[in-house]
Amino acid sequence: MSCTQSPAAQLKTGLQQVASWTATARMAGEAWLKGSVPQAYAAQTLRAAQETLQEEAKALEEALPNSAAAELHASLLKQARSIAGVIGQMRAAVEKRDRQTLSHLLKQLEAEQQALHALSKRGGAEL
Amino acid sequence: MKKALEITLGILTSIGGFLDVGAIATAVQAGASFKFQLLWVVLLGTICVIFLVEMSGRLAAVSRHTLVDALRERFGFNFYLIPFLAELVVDGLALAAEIGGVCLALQLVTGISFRWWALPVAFVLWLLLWKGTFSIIEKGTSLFGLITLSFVVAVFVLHPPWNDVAAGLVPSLPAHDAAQYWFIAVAILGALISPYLFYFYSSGAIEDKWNKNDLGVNRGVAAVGMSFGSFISLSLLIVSALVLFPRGIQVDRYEQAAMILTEPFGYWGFILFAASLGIACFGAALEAGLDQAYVVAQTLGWNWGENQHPKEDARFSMTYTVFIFVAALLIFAGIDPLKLTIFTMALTAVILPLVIFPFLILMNDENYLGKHRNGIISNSVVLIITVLAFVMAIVAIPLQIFGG
Repeated sequence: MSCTQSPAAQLKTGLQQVASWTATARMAGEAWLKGSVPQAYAAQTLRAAQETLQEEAKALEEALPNSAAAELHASLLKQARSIAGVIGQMRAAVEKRDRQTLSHLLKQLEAEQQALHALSKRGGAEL
Repeated sequence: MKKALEITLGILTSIGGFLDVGAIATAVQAGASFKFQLLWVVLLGTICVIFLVEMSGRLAAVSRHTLVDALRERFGFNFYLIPFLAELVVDGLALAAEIGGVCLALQLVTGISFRWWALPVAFVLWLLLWKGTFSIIEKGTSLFGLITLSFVVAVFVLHPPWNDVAAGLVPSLPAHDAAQYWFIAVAILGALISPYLFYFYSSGAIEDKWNKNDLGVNRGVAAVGMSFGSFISLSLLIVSALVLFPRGIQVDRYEQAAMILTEPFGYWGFILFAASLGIACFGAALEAGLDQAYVVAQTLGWNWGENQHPKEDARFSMTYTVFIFVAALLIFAGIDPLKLTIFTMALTAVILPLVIFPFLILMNDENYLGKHRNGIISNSVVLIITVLAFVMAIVAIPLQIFGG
C-alpha cells in the first residue's frame, strides 16, 4: 500500500486485496479438487495467496486508522490473519494430496469469504 | 495464386503473432477489474496499429528504406538520437517482460520458479536467432501462436451477454477506481501500439525485398491480420471478465490469470493458457530481440540482416546477443514480470509521440513516398490516438503511482 494513501483509501485497498486473494485461493483449491490444475500450481498459488495476505495484515497493523474506521480496520486485520491461516492449511493439504481435508477447508474459506463480504458492505457504508 | 497464398500466410502470422505479454497482461487485468468496460480501448488501439503497420510496410515497399534508415536520413543523426534512445529503453524492458512471460509459463507447468528459467530461455532465443532465418522467426513462431485462438473459442463456450459486450465497445467513464481504469487503458494502448512492432515490420519488409507490387499484400496483412489478431485480445478480455470479475479476483500476479481457461476447458484449459502465454511471449521475444538489433545496426550504419550468416554482420548479431542476455538477467534478478510488463506498456504510451510524430512527417514526404503519401484519414487517426494515449499516460501514471 502506498504511504500517500488516506487511511480510508488504505482500508478500501486492503479490503479489495484480501477479497481478491481469498477468491483466488478458493478458485485454485476447487480447481485442484476437480483435477483442472496440477498440484504444483495449486500449491504455488496458495503459497502466493498466503504470503500476500500476511503482508497485507502486516501493512494493516502498521497503518494508523482514523477514529471512524478503527473498528473496521481491526476487524479486517483479524479477518486477513484468519484467512491466511486457513489458506496455509489448504496448501499443506494440497501438498499431502489430502482431498478430504481440502474440501473441509474450502467450506471454512467460503464462510470466511462471506464474513469478508459483510465487512466489505459495512466498510462501503461507513467510509 | 502466389499472391493469395502470401496474403493468407501474412494474415495467419499476424493473427498468431498478435498477442504478446503486454496484450495478455493488460487484457486480463482489464476484464478482471472492469468487466467489459475497457473493450473500447482495445478497439481504439487496434485501429491505430492497423494504420501504423500499413504505413511502415508502405514506406519500406515504396522507398526501399526501413523506418530507422528513413528517419535518420530525413531528420539527421542528432535529432534521431532522441527517439532511438527512447525506443532502445522501452524495447529492452519489453524484451525482458516477454522473456518473463515465457519463464512464467514454464513455472506454471513445472512449479519451478520463473527466475531459474530466464537463462535457459534466453539461450534458446539466442540460438534460434543465431541459426534461424527471418522466415523461420517471423512465420514459424507466429503459426504456433495460433494456439491463442483458444481464447476466442472460450468466449463462445462461456456464452457472454452480448449486449453488455457491445456496450463495452463504446467509450465510457469508470464508476469506481478511476485512476486504475485510466492506467490500465494507457497500458492497453501501450501494449497494442508497440513501436517495436512497426520498426520490426518495416525491417521485415526489406528482408523480404518488398516493392510497390507488394502494397496490396501489405494492406491485406495490416488490415485483416491485425483486425483478426485483435479479436484474440478482445476475447481474452471477455473471458477474464466472465471468469475472474464475478469472483472479485483482481490480477496482481500471473498465477491468478492462469485459471481463466479452466472453466470452459478443464485441465486442458490450464495447459492451453500456459502454452498460449509461453508461445506468444517467445515469438514476441524473438521479434523484440531482433528489432533491437535492427534499430541499433540501422542507426549506426552497420551491416544487418537475419538472413545473413552471423559472421557477415557480426555487430548486428552481437547486439541481439547482448540485449537478450541483459534482459534475461533482469528476470533472473527476480523482477516481478507482471509489474514490469504493465510499467513498460504505460511507458510505451509516454514515448509514442517521440516515435510517431517524426514517422508521420516522413509519411507525408513526397521524396520518400511520392504519390503513396499518407492521406488525411491516416494522418488524423494516428495523430488523434497518439495524442490521446500520451495525455492519458501523463495524467494516469502519476495518479496510479502516487494514489497507490
